[in-house]
Order: sequence, then structure tokens, then C-alpha cells
Amino acid sequence: MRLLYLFVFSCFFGYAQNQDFSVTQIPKELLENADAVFRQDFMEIEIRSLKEMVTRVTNVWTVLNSQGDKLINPSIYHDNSIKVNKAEVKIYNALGKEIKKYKKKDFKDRSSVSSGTLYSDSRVMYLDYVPTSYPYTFEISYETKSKNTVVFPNFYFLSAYRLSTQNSEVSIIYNPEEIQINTVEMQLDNLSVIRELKPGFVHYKTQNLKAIKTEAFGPYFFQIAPQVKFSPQKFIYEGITGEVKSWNELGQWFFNNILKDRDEVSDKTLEEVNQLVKGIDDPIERARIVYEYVQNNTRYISVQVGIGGVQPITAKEVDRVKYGDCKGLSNYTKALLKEVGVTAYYTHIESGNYQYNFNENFPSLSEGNHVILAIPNGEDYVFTDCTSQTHPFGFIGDFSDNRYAHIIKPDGGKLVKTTAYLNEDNHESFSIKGALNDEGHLTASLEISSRGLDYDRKQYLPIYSNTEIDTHYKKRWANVRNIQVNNIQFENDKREVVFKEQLEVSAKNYASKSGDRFIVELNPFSKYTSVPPRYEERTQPIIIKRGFYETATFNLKLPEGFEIEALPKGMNTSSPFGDYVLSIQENEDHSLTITRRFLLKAGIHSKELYTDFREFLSNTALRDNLKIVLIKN
Amino acid sequence: MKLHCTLFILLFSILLNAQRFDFGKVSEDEIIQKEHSNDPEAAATYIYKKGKVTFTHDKIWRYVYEVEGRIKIYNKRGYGYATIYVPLFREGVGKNEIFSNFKGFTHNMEGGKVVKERVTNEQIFDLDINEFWGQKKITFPKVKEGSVLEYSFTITSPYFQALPEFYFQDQIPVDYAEYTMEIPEYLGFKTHIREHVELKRESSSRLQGFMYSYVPENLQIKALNANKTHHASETILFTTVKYSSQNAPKVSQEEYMNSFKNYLTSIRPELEWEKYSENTPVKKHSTSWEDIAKKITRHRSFGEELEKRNYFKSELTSALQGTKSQMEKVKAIYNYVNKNMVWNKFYSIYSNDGLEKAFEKKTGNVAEVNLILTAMLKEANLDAYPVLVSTKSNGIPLFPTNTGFNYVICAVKINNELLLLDATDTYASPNILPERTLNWYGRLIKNNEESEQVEIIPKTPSRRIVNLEVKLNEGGTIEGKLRNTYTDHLALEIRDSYASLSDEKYIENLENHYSSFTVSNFGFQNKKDPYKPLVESYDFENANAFDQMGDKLFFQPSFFLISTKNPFTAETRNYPIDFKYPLQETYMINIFIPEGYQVESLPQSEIFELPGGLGDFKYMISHSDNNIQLRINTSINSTLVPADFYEPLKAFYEAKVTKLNEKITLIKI
Repeated sequence: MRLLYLFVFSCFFGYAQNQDFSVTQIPKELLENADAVFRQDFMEIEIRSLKEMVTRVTNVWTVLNSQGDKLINPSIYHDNSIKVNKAEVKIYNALGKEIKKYKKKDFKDRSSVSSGTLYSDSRVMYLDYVPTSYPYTFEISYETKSKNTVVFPNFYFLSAYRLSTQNSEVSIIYNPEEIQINTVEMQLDNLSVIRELKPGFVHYKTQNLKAIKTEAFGPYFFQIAPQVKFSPQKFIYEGITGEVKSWNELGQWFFNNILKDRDEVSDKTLEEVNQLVKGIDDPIERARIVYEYVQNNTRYISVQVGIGGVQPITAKEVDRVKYGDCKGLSNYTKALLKEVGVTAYYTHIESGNYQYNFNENFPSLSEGNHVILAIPNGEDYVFTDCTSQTHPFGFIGDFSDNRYAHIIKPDGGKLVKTTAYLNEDNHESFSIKGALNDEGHLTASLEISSRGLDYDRKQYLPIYSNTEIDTHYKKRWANVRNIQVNNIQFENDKREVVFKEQLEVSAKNYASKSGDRFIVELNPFSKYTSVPPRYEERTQPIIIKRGFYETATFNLKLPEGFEIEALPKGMNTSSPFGDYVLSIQENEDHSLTITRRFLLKAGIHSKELYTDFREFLSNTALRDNLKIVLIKN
Repeated sequence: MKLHCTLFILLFSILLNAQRFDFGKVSEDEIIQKEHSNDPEAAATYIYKKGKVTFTHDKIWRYVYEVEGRIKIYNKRGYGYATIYVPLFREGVGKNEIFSNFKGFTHNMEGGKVVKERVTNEQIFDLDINEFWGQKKITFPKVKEGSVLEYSFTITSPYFQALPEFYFQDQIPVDYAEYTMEIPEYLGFKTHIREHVELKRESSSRLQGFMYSYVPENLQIKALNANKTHHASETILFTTVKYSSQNAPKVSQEEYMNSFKNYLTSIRPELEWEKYSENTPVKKHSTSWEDIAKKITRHRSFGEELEKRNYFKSELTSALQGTKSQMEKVKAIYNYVNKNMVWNKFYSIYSNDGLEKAFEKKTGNVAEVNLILTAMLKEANLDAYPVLVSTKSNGIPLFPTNTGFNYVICAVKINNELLLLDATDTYASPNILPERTLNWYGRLIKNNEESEQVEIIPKTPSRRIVNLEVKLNEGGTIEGKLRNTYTDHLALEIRDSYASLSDEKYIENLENHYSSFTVSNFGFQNKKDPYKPLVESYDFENANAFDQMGDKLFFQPSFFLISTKNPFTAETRNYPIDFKYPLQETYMINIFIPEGYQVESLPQSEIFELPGGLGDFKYMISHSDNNIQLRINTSINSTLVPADFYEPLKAFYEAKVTKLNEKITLIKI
């Protein structure tokens, strides 16, 4: 068996080194839409035992222009359990001639702490190379050794937009008598991939993948990039052995090994919490009270050390220092809930607007970057995020909405979809009373109520200073010239999740003048302006992830001495993408009532419909820009 | 008796005041307080902060910097102040700054009582930022709205020639701040002060014992134990200087503001001299511009490096081939360095690897790139000098200091005119420097170890000239031709951001920037030639560009071109407005009147001016049967406009925006 490993190993590197890196060797089609070309993306993972994993990487990029500099990654991440054995960088000129070589000692090494994190013991070794001409070729090769065998990197055959791939290869070598490897392919269907899947050896190889471009309302990169994911069915993580073939087993392992005995809290806190829920029986109400208690008494501080990568600090520790990261705060809240008789489950999720889903066939500890709580409510769950200082209980916003999360229960884990906020859920409604005077100045009072993700965008406003709030409105309505905002009042109904704004607005010279005429915009406060770009050839389907709904009534009193010269027609459109209605009605009291309704529906449409979609939005923008002409009489 | 009484009250209040700002004396009132008395919007405040510097001599001088403070957190927005960041410079054993004696507490009210929670070691973190800098991060436990935090720590550092800057102001109010120095008679310091809030100064002297150790130098006889450390004690004079401020308001970042740091009251002492006895001479340090020039001229990584010229001889000769005039030579050398040396994005006034090595590697820090340039110019017998600069992010050095500078550019004198050069930016050219350097004054280092101040702020305006021809089509669409000419800094900014993009990508950006906009026949002229104006020209089609209502057409004659938003929306302004460079924008617009239409009304021509000749706006419009011609001109003549002018400036832009929004009406004949 050993012999086989060696053979594969030497084969691999022999191939890697015989390459000609001159720019002329790049197939023409790989230069289209590309700022850099991945000449070789080789990764080999050798699992020597459950306690030892060696990763060898050779990455060679040809950078075509300065935009391509940021597409290469001259960094090697390591920490207490990952050691860097070898590291080397070579630079080649356009002809493929080696012009520079760097050894391991030439690398710089520093803490690697992402923004939002206070401290982490992960570190990064990187090479600071300043390119002096383009194109150039950058080769980095390294070997790391890890004593954890649970986290395997995902392997992308295309790794970024505007980066094509010439050769891409990944292999895993392991002892099939000791472990099994679970492999999941994604977006490999239309590619010619050479696969070798046999006990002890997994190997994937592709060549000549063209660079892809971003498109508005298109899928995210990870949804279109060809990739393969690996996870071991047996592993050792920080000394703890695990064996998982399903999410259920992973959940069980996690509950028994990682979460166990970490939910003790001081008597004083328990007493406080028990006081707060006294007389309330409904478990969801109890949970709400405890959640708010945690919000008011802790703050989010992220410290990642050692096993802290997945294990929360104890509830006792959070109780003492009153801060924690998503793991610590979730576990703490869960502990307090347990005390007041409410069950809550620790839940792994991939957070972020991009709605990354866990895959039923790929149970892995390396999936997910965030922890929330799931509280059973009948057949359903209430999801809540303990890291937020301001969110209402049970509201997770677009940070964790509508995606599969891993709920970790004592009897095993399972994937459950989180709360979705779709279409009419995201409702912004305007009620506006305004008047235009004979100098063209506008005064108006507005009442705006926002729900769903519109709620999320505004709920933070009350904690801002007056100056910041003023700036907020002036930016939001920058299209309204000379706008002044006064008498602002907020009402944040956390229970119903509705945010209400009440304010008065004035705008000098709101109407544009043209001789004796005023030209007056009819929808200044909820204007849709973002028409997506045209594409010569749309390549991706249209994805509207969440959708939204806007309604407005605007009563506008017209100035004395002016009459309406031209009143534009309204519009009523319905399309597969949504509906748009605008009506303008002249009232007896020399005023107008403008009614607007705009619904953009969540959904997926074929790329052939893109022109229609764009037209729908561009017509919406056009109608939202509608004006009326007044003339002095 | 009355006198005594007053004295007593006075003494008492001084005592009380002194106690209020002592570590550990947190009052209940401070914890209960809901908002700041002078600034109800403040998210947090420094109830006090103190810095105290003393000196030790254990073979070498070190300063000991004791820092303490008390922070009140009013609301969640202030939680950021519950983490302290302390940068520490480290160059290796004996050259590291040492952090010690940390004490920190969080104070809260619990059940009507003040409860104290100590910061433990688990809340103190060590990070490596890069090869020279480390950082301590300390976060307080049990922080909630209302908490009062206290901290104190000590930094011991061998870098006693330039002491750390102490800030009396911050982005939150500072109710009381105090900075104290206890200076032994051996040392003399000069203090550089930015005083936006009034500082109270107190000083006193006293004799006191000073223990120190040293290794004797220049021993005539190499006796046994000659290298032994000697210990000594002397009674010497100590001078204590104290600066304090009361109720310093917060300073917030505003738009069009140059550097935030320039508006914080601060103090930064710099070593002026050392003198150890009657018999030894005074060792002077840079405190006058002359000293700085002298020091830098003799510095191993600056002046001495400039004198080495052998490594580029052949490259210089070939670069100079065919050049005759001085100006041609300057350009040839500048272009050579600009093309061949790539800046590695590090700022410094000193060479790191040496110029020769940098030259060989074709990359280096700012000093390396621009000192190579200076050396080559000198070698070509041109009047070239290095100029020390402090970048915008570094603040403005208003006083003689060499630690205040972080950047070097080059100046050449031709026919008594000074040309400023910076070869770090690919698209910079003589006298057109990248924005980071445009920070008031630089210090030119002359050959005779003297120096002079040079103004860096551009005086000639950067221009944008736009020619636009527009035809109105059916259904609200316009089409036409556009030609955009940019000069000087405007051209530099565009080249820096877009020259590396393909035209295809640029067009995509352009089409997305204006909505419903289609571009064809696009072309850049002089895209990468910094000596010529940048010209962009294209044909366009723009849907929904005008309104057709009944028998009339309405449109604003600058169409998509000019932003009709006022950049100044804030009601008040505290700090000067920084325009970076003088600016002239001219729009020449020619609109064809569609067949069958005539002009019903045109906006009136109008001119308005900013006070003090700061700028003006001209709007000149006329028409014939076939077309309408419009010329719009905006000039901003000053780069830094005082905050007092904010009102008229805002009104100026308001009037401009209103004028630009006036519409033309065409009517069917």
C-alpha cells in the first residue's frame, strides 16, 4: 500500500515540473474575459492516519494585467494544529523563464484576524511580491501537515470571476481500511472531467475552463463554479474521534462531544432570569424575554482560539465576562432557556446574503460559518440570532434566511430550512401628504412603515445620532434637491416586526422651472432606479432571490394660480417578474392623488427572458420618473 | 479669615478635582449618568485620560510612558471603546517596546451598588501586525449601557528621541485630559502642539536623586572588566511640565475633509539635545529645519545613499540618449524611473534595502524610488533635490521635525522654476503629483545641508472640458456625441483608476453609471500618456432622457452629464473644506431642435460667484432656429476653503443645482 502512495506522489510532482509557463502556451479562449489564468491548480491531500493529514499544493498563475494581481493568493494559513513544512515561490517572465525564487524564510508571517474578530490564533504566511511587469507567472508550492483530519478544503476548478483555468487537479490518498471519504460533485455536469475513484485514491482532473463574468440578477459564484467537496467519514478533531455518515450522526457526535457540559450558569443569573419569566407560561414568550435579557447584558466579541473554531466557550465564561461570539452567545442563551424550561437547539448555518445551502449528501463539520438557535414551536421552529444587539426575537433577516441549517439535537442532527422573507413579506408602505407652493417649494409629511427585510434595513436608525440620521435621509432621498428633514419620529414594534417612520420634509425649488411652467416629479420618495445592464449575450438565468413589495399614496396639493397643463397617464402592468401600478387622479380641491404599487416577485427565470425582465424594470424606472406640468394662469 | 476660607475652598476643590481624576475613584454618579452633559448624542466619553512620561537610564535611555483613563459608555454605539488597541514597535531583543502593569476594571450598578469587574489575562491578546509592529488588544468584561471602564498600563521604549503623540481629543468628548513629562536635566525636549482646544500649561522643577547605569566608553586602557556596567547615582534637576485640557468636544469626520488627525488637539515631544556634564558638549538633535537638513543629509539611508551613483551609469546614459535641453533630460530620467521602478506601497523617508539593491530588484519603497530618481538627475548635472513630505494620512508637520515626515518626492530647478516629481505613480508627471502627497508644504533639502519650504498644493487648475452634441428622437430617447477632456489631476485620477481596465470593461462601467445608456465608437486618446490631456470620446444613446407631454418637450439641457445633487448637505461645518486642487469645468452643449418644434422657453443666462474670489458659476444659453447652445462653467479657485465659508458654499451649490435643473420647453409649431 505504501508503495502505491509513493508512486502516485512522484507521478504528480513529475508532471507538475515539466510545464512550460510561457504565455504563448495559454490557449486563446482562456484569455477571454480573464485578468489572470490559473496555469496549474494542484492539490494533493494525503491522510496518513486519523491524526495526520498532509496537504501539498502547487498553484501557478499567469497574471495578465494589474487587475489580475488580486486574483492570486500568495498566502498559506496555519495555526497551532497546522504546520507549514515547505514553502517556495518562483516567478517567471512572459517567456516562461524563471526570474526569481523565494524560499520559506523569505515569507512573512503574521496574525490572521479577519475584521469583526478581536483575536484568533490563526496565522498567515505570505510572500510580498511586487510585480514589475505584465504578464508574469507566479508559482507557489507548499506542504502543510495537520493533526486534525476533519476539515478538507473545497476544491474549485474555477476559483474566481475573470480567472480561467488551464490545468486543475486534486487527489486524496488514504488508507481505505481505516477511513472512507465522502465526495460530492457540484456543477461538473457539462465539463469533461477525468475521475478516478477507487478505494484509497480519489482523483479529479480538468483542463481549459474559460473565465466567467458576473451578471446582475445572476447566481452567485459558488452556484455556478464547478467544484468538488470531500469529507472523511471518520476523523480526529482536537483529539476527539468521530465517525459520521449523515447529518444525523454528525449532530449526535457534536452534541455529545463538543456541546456537552458547557451549559452551567451562575445562580445569580439564573435567579434574575427566573424573576423575569415569572408568571409567563408560553415557552415562546419565555424565550423572547430571555433573548432580550441576553441582548441587554452581553455584546458580541469574537475570540477564536484552539478548539474554539467549532466549540463554544462555556456558558459560565460568557456569564462572567458578558461577551462572546456566535457560538458562545448561542450556547449561553440556550443554557438560560433550558433553565426556564424552554428547549432550544444549537444550529449551524452558513450566514450571509448569498443563501448558501447545506447539502443533504454532504454532512461535514467544515460547512457553515455561523451559529443561531432553533426553538421548537409546534411542528415548526423559531430561529433567532443571539449575536444581534438590536434584532427582534425570531427575526434573522437576510443574514440567515431561507436556507438549510443544521439543527443539533441530543438524538442527532437534521437539516431544516430557516425563515423565508419573500415578496409581500418585505413591505414598505408610504402615506404622504404634501403641498407645492407658488415658488415651487415642497412641504410634505410622511408616514412610512416597513416590514420584513425593509424592517431590517431601518431598525438600526434609532441608535444613530441626530447628525447621522440627518445624513441618512439626505442620502436616501438625494434625488430630492435641497431636502430638509424635520420632526423625525420612530416607532419600532419588535413584536410585530414593523418599523414606522414619521417625518416632515421640505425641499426648496422642488419643482424645476421652465419659463412660466413648473415641472413636478410625482414619485420622489420611493423611486426605483436600478435598471440592470444590457448584455450582448446573457449567459445565466435570472434569479430574484427574495422580492419586495412597495405601496404608496401621495396626496399633493397644487399651488394657487397654477393649473395643470399636462397630466400623464398612469400604468398598470403585470408580468412574470411582478406587478406595477401607478395611477394619478385629479381631485376637486386642486390636488392630486398618486397611487403606486410595485411588486417584484422572488423566482427563477430562464436567461432568454432577460430582455423582458430588463424592460419590466426599465419601464418601472421610467414611470417612477413621471412628471406633471403646471402652468401659471 | 475670609481669605483663609476662600483658600480652603480653593484647595479643597483642587483636591477634589485631582481626586476625581484618579484611578479607582469612580463615582456612583458617573455610572448612573444617562447622557453627556455637553453632548447628549455622544455614544461614550473619556471622563479623563492621562499620559505621563518619565525616563530611565540602564545603559541606554528609555522612556516610561504611563497611560490611564476612564471611559463612560452611554449606549451600544459606544461599545467599540470597550476594546483598547496598543501598537508596539519591535525590532528584536533590546529594541522592543515593552507593555506592562496593565490594570483594568468595568464598573456597573447592580442592585443599587457599584460592582467592579477586573480585566483578566484572558482578555488581553497579542497580535503580529507585520514584521515591525505588534499589537495588544484588551477588551473589557461585563460591558453594558452605562458601564464605566478604567484602565492603566505602561509602555517602556528605547525610542526616546520621538515620544508618542498624545491626543487631547477623540471621536468622543474628552472631559479632562492631562499630559505630564518629567525630564531629567540631561535631556531637552521640544514639544509640538496642535491646539484646537485650549491647553493649560504648568511647570515646576526640583532636585532629586537619579540612579543610572552605563558602560564607560573610550577607555584608554583596555583593562580587565572595562566593559563592565557601572552604577551611579546623582542628584539632578528634574523639570515637570504638565498640559491639560477641559471639556474637549468630539471631532468627527466630514466629507471633503483633508486629514481628520489635523483637527485633533495633540502634543508630541521630540528630543532636542542631550548634555551629561559641564565638560561634555551638548549633543543637538533636529529641532530646527537646519538640523533636520543636516541630519538627513548625513543619514546612512538617505544622504549617503544619494551619493552612490555607480550602479545606474549605463542605464542613465541610454536614458539620456538624444536629449538636449534640461527639460528633456528631466523627462527622460523621470520616465525611465517611473517605468522601471515599481513602488511596493510602503511609505518611508529612508531607504530600506539600499538604492542599489532596489534598483536591481526594480521595486522599492517611496524613498528608494524617488531617491534613485534624485540621484540620477543629480548625476545628469541637473539641480535636483529630495523633498520631505508628510502624506495626507499622516497629518501636517507645522514645525521642525524629521519624524513628522513619511514620504519623499523630488524637486528639480530649471530656470529658477521648481518642478516637483513623484515616480511612484505610473501616471503622475512633473508637477502633477498623486493626491496622497498634496498636503500643504514639503521640505526641500539643499546641498549645503540647509532646507527650505516648498508649496505642494497645486496652483494651476485641473480642467474638464466637455463637448456634447445632442439630437432628440421620438419617445424620449436622445442620441449624440460626447467628448470629454481632462487635464492634470483630473486626468491622473482617472488614469489611476481606469487605465489598467480594458475599454470593454470601461464601457460597461460607463453604461451602468448612467441608466439606459448605450455607448458606441468609444475611444480614449492618450490613455497612458501622462504628458497629454486625457480625451474620451464616444457616441451615445440614452433612453428616457426627456419628457414629452402633449405638444411639448421638456428637458434639462445638461441631460445626464452633470450631477444635479448638492455635495454639501450637512447643516453645519466644523472643519475646512478640502477641494484637493483648483478646478475648472466647462460644458459646451449643442442641442439640435427637432424638425417641427420651436423654443417655447429657455432658462435665463446667469452668473453667480462665491465670496472672496473662491469660485464662480456661469450659465450662458442662446438659441437659433435649429439649435440651442449652452455653456456652463464652474471654477473653484481655492483648494482649502475655511469652514466660515460653508454657508455661502452650500448656497452656491444649491443655486447651481437649482439652475441646472431648470428645463427647456419646446413646442410643436
